[in-house]
Amino acid sequence: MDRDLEDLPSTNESLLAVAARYARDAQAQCVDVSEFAFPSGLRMPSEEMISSVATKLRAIIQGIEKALLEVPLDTGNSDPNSWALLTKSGFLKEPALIDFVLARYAEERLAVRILAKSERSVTEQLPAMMLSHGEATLADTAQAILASESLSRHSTKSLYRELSPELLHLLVWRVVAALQIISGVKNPHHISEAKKLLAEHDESQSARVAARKLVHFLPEEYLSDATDPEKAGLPVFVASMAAQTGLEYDHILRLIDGHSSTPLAAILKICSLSHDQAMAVICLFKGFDLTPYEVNIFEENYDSLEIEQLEAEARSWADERIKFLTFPDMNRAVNT
Amino acid sequence: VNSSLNLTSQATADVSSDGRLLRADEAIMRLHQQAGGVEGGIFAVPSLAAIARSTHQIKMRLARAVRVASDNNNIELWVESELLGDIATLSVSGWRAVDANPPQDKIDRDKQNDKGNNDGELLFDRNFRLVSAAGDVANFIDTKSIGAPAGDIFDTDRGNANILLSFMEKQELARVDGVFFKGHNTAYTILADVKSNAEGVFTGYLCELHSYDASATQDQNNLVSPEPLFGQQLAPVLRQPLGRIIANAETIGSKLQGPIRDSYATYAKDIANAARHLVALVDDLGDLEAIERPDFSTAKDNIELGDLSRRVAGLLALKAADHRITILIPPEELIVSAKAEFRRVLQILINLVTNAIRYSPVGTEVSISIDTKGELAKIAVSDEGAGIDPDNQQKIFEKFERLGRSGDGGSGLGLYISRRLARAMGGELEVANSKQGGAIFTLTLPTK
Repeated sequence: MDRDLEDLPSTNESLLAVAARYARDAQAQCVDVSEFAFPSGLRMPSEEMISSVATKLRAIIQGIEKALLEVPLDTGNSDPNSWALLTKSGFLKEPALIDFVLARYAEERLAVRILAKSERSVTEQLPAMMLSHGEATLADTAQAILASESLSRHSTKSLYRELSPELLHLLVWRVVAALQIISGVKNPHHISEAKKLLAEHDESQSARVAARKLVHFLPEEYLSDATDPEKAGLPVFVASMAAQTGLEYDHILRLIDGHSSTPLAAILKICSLSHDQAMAVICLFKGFDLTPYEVNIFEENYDSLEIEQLEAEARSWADERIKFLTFPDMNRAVNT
Repeated sequence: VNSSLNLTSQATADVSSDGRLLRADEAIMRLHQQAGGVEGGIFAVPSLAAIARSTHQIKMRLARAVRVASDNNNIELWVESELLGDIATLSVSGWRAVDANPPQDKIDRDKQNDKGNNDGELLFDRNFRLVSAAGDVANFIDTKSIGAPAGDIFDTDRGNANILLSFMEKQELARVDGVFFKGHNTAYTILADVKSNAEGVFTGYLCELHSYDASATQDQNNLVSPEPLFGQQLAPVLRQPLGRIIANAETIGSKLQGPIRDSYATYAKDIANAARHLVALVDDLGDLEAIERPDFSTAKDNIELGDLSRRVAGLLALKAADHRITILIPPEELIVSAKAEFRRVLQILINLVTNAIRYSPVGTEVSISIDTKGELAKIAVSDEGAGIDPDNQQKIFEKFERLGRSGDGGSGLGLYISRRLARAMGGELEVANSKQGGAIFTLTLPTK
């Protein structure tokens, strides 16, 4: 306690400044150690990825504005009206929103890979087969998956409808606030339309949730089909992996689309896929990106992997993700 | 849960905005009661209560799979909820027994119910007031003490009760030996378990009491732990508070809970970043500890040094561009194979190239070259910086050696770890100066 009195912060602001200064010193050391010694193998974003994220974010905001506005405001450019304000506020950089968009980017890429490789048509996949199932829950859920996929394929479905309720709630009210700032007046129409949009939003109609529901109710004789992406289709395959690993649907999409095949191999092992089944899935999704190194690792290790250890590892991935993505007071309900 | 329930059985429940279970079909009511809930009380099944709470909060329809614990097994349920008036109505179906790891709420309840292996339990609320006493300890802590603060129950003049109380004030898990109660002469070992609700909000402490055996503790302390101290024992303890710092600082920095000055937000983001990197440091120091263990070993992968060079150049391209430095890589047709662990060699190279970028003048080149000599494969990283004084060329590989530099973000661990790794793979890491004056770090690795 031999500090000079003048070192002591006298206001809240200077207290925070001092804390931040010390924090930055600590950060420098940590960056050094972590970057030097233990590379995290980050995937560098490609031009294509960045462009896709920007386009999708615009589409989300545009979709919400379309639902809220009777007549679009004239801002003199092609961006959504609230775009500039939301961008400036930093909200569009929120990890949960970017993660959602990146998951959709991954979803598109992976769906294309299945289509390119698979000889099955959509009508031969599990959701289509369930349409005629005697159990109404299965038939209705399969219908929801197919409808959602079809609308997405034909770009007639607003992307915001795939957002989780928590994220949509936050985004809608921010768009309302931004529109209010732009127009300078509080518009009761925007508020009532926002309430209507949120009240009508049905999470169970998104492909992600419908697929998870289908997997939940799937009779045992179809469970193995759900772990084959060609038979199941992408949403049901990913939902099946999510159900068995406890990881979130979007998390699995991003792990599959990541630069390494190792997380996918771990997921497949947790789901008890045999060596050959797992290799087929990895080849389907990774194709020519698979390096001899990855194949070696897979060949030497897959059979001897301990499922319990992998489950513990997957739980730690999920924990890290929750820490990274959680909104204050939101996203608390657990869903996979 | 009734064994007659199956995938198609449907049950509903109504939950009020303050979290009370107003009405429930039999199956849900049974889960609620098994979780310690009472009729008309707060909904006690955490995952279902969380969905009801979210429904009230955002007034939207939700549909989710959740896992809950019953007395006999774990069940996965499909839950759909919507807000009708001021009541969240949950519709629960798809009752599917699962044999995976029990959910945390079940583990907590089992611990709470497991009264056979201890001498009693004390439950404190969030203000550290006694809520209940069970087991042997109830013989001398009578009902008049219910509601009393923890400081009035533990004897802070004897033993280690003070330590326990200080842990509790900081809301940390604690195991404290030699704790005495006021007016009682037996010492106890106390395991204090932090309790929190489904949202992770601190709700109090459950203290398990065990007879304290001083001699056994002494013997235990004399044993050398075969477990890594940092990686397996300290790191998990450090991660939790750091996680809280990150979450709180992120909340402040993102301004999601209200507007604050930009400078405050910047400070908060700095704090969050620093804490995030401290978490990384904690993990890394755990790894460092692993490297220094005598049984540390590396894999023998077939690797190609040209491929590694290109990966490193790609990973560090942005960092190099920031310094307007160009990274030169070997031509694609040049193939140099080696036998070493891919991840570790990548780690060493990233360390060397990052160093080169950091200490090279702006606008210069960092070059990665590869070569084979006999049974050794070589990969060298050279820069156009000031080079390293020959007197210091060994010193820089020592742990925490910074050569008097400070403020550049270095910690003096990177080269130490790199050389240890190189040697563990049967290779070597050395440094020399080029004729032009820059430093050349050369990593040699076996080819077979």
